[in-house]
Amino acid sequence: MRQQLVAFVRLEWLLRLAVAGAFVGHGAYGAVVAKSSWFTYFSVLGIPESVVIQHGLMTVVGVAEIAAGVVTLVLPIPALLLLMAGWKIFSELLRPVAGEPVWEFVERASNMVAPLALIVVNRERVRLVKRRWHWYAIRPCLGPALTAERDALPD
Amino acid sequence: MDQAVMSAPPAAPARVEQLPRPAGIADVAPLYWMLRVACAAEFVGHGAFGIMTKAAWVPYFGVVGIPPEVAWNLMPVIGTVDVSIGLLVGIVRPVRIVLLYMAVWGLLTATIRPLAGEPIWEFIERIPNWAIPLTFLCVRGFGRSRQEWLS
Repeated sequence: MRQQLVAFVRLEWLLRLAVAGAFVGHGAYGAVVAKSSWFTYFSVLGIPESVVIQHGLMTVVGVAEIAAGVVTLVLPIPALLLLMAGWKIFSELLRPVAGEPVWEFVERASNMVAPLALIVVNRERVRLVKRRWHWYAIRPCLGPALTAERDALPD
Repeated sequence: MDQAVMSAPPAAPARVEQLPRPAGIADVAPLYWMLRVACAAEFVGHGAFGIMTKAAWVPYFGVVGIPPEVAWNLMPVIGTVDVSIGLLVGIVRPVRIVLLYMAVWGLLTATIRPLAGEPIWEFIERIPNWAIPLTFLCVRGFGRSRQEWLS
């Protein structure tokens, strides 16, 4: 069982990296690069370019995505991950709606699935150590707390 | 009786790859299917752009010294390979060696973008492109023999 816990933790780190990468990388296009194609996505939602510039909406969305990505890398919270998965599916759906090929959406399946997969792995790990899992639970992924959980398990 | 026992051949020690894998994360059906669908869609979607040909891909070929005229001809080939392995993993079987290929190819295609002059964020945003196939391979378990890598 200890080996199983180690395997779960390894998977969690891989998925945390994936989620953080997807959100920090994408968010940077809003907050750092201010990519012009984003105006098209806002216009799909009925928000004109002038309003986006006036209220700095691109920066707001970008910073929020970067923050969510960094939080996931440090402390993955299942409720936040569910929100992130929903946001990712919604924001990627804007691409075909804005006139881009549907493959732009299909190609990004990994970015959308990563937060959901992380929720499942996190839940399975918590079940393994016989703790109660809930949407706001934060489980240790390194340090003495994790070592204690591992040592409490039979071989 | 004693003679029969003595003449029985000694039991062959079980080889590691013959032992059943312990029940674990691979048995969690939602996770297995999420990862399988994600890997398939990622490669089918990416391959579609190759088949359609995309001008933005030309600089990526340039990084490895392939001239534009050859690049345009290679794109549909790469696209067809991507779509084929995407369909293989999604519909037929998530073969371990193919998942490893997906992870390596995902890493290479993500790395080539900043090398072609695009922002580093293009690479960072595409971490899931190699991390998800690698996660799926870890969930299935690395092959313990050539036969397992091919299954």
